[in-house]
Amino acid sequence: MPYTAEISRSNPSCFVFLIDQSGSMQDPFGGGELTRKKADAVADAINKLLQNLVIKCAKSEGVRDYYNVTVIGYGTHVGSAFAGALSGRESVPISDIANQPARIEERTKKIDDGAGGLVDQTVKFPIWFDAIANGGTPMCSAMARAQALLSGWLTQHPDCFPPIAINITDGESTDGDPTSSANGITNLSSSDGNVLLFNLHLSSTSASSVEYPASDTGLADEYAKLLFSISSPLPDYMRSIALQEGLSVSDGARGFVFNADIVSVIRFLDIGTRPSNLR
Amino acid sequence: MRIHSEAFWLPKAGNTEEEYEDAFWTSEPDNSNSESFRCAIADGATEASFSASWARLLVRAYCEGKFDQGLLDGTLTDLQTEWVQSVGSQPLPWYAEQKLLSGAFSSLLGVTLQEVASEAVNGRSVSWTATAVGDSCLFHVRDDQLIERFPLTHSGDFNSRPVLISSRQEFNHQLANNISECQGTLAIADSLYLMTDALACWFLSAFEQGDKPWKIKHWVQIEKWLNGLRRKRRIRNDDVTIVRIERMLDYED
Repeated sequence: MPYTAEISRSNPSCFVFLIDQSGSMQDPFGGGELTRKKADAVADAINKLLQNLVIKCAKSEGVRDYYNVTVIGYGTHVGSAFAGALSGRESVPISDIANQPARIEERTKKIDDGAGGLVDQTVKFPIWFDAIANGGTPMCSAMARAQALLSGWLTQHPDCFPPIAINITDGESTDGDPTSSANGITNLSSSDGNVLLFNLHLSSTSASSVEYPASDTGLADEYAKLLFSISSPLPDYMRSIALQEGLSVSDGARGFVFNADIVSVIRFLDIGTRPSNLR
Repeated sequence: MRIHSEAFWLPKAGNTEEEYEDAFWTSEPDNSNSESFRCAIADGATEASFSASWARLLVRAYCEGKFDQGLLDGTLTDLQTEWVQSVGSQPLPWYAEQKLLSGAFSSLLGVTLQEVASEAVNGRSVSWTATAVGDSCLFHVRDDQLIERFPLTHSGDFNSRPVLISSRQEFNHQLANNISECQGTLAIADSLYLMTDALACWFLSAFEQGDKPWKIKHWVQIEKWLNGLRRKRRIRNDDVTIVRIERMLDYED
């Protein structure tokens, strides 16, 4: 049965994040009423993804290397998008990601006070990736780069849990239709199943957010429909966890999210017992 | 009552002994002769951190009788304070700090044996009462028959998302609705088996297929046997803990 390989330090899996850094990411995010740029939304999304992945792998003694992570930026050029000490590195063990953020900021979040209310809590927010918006959107080149990296990983880890590639973009590829490049990624496989490609579409339109739809009906524009078409269907095990998490995912749901939070994907990863009362 | 108990534990394959996150405790030594006997096992959740220390606090408290008034009284709050003090006293990296805020989680299965006056032979019988949160299981075997399964009864009942006891009170809203209790009588030569989830799931699955999985023939070679099950993928690769409790023939008064 596919997607059942154990993720462990002796049999790690990997993530590849593809980050749109094109000039159009300067545009406002989500309908233009707010001043927040898409590039800032992208930076927040990737930093939150990395933060959650690190926390997922953190244990009492440190961070266990269950994953290697690559972050490829595409804009003026295509290449590693880490800032700070990891700058220029491609496939990085998650423990190095944990211990070498470019900097750590402090943010405030609301948490349950245990008595039915909410209180402010200051939390550390590590930053690995800064907002960048320059040049075109060479999505096909970025996907080709990801395919090469994943191919190398799979040669070294033929029995790993299938790697996951997550593309974060506003959808407007400028170096051609990304369909065949995307197929180049999802046709790769380990003995446990095909590589998964998920897409997070951050748009300037004010259309409602969409999470893991099973069809492209009602998606905002042609870019959203294209990105939906190249997104992998959620494997049964992920759909099962998503349902347990209370997400509404129907049969045939794909790894596509429009103007919403894709951090939920980290909760779909199974590295052992996760209590249902852990949030 | 005379009780013989023996325990075995093994970390997940690929992990060190220090990374074992189950826990077990008994109130008496392996061979005891007293009016009561307590035993508890716990399974710290993999996805949380500092779960091993939380699991240890829970089993010890159970065996010291601190949960005799139930799991929801003040004892849990005291243990939560003890856990925070034990794990939060040193400066931690950002990820460990955040993980700490999520708390640790653990199952708990405790059983208390109590000698009671009865009209049975020798005027004594032994009752047992078990309390469980999560998917650690108890099995009662008498005359080569499985007569009780608790709290899960079928191998299909196991999943990786049980409600567990949290070291953070704000995550225990669902606890009151997820405490199970069971009781029975322990006759001479009866055995109780307490197991954490991976082995318990295998046990029920084997039983459903008509086997008698309590006949672990090579208790002294249990590690080799478990590694064989893991290699054949008949058991999930997870920490394993098993405690066997057997009521022995009473001494003559």
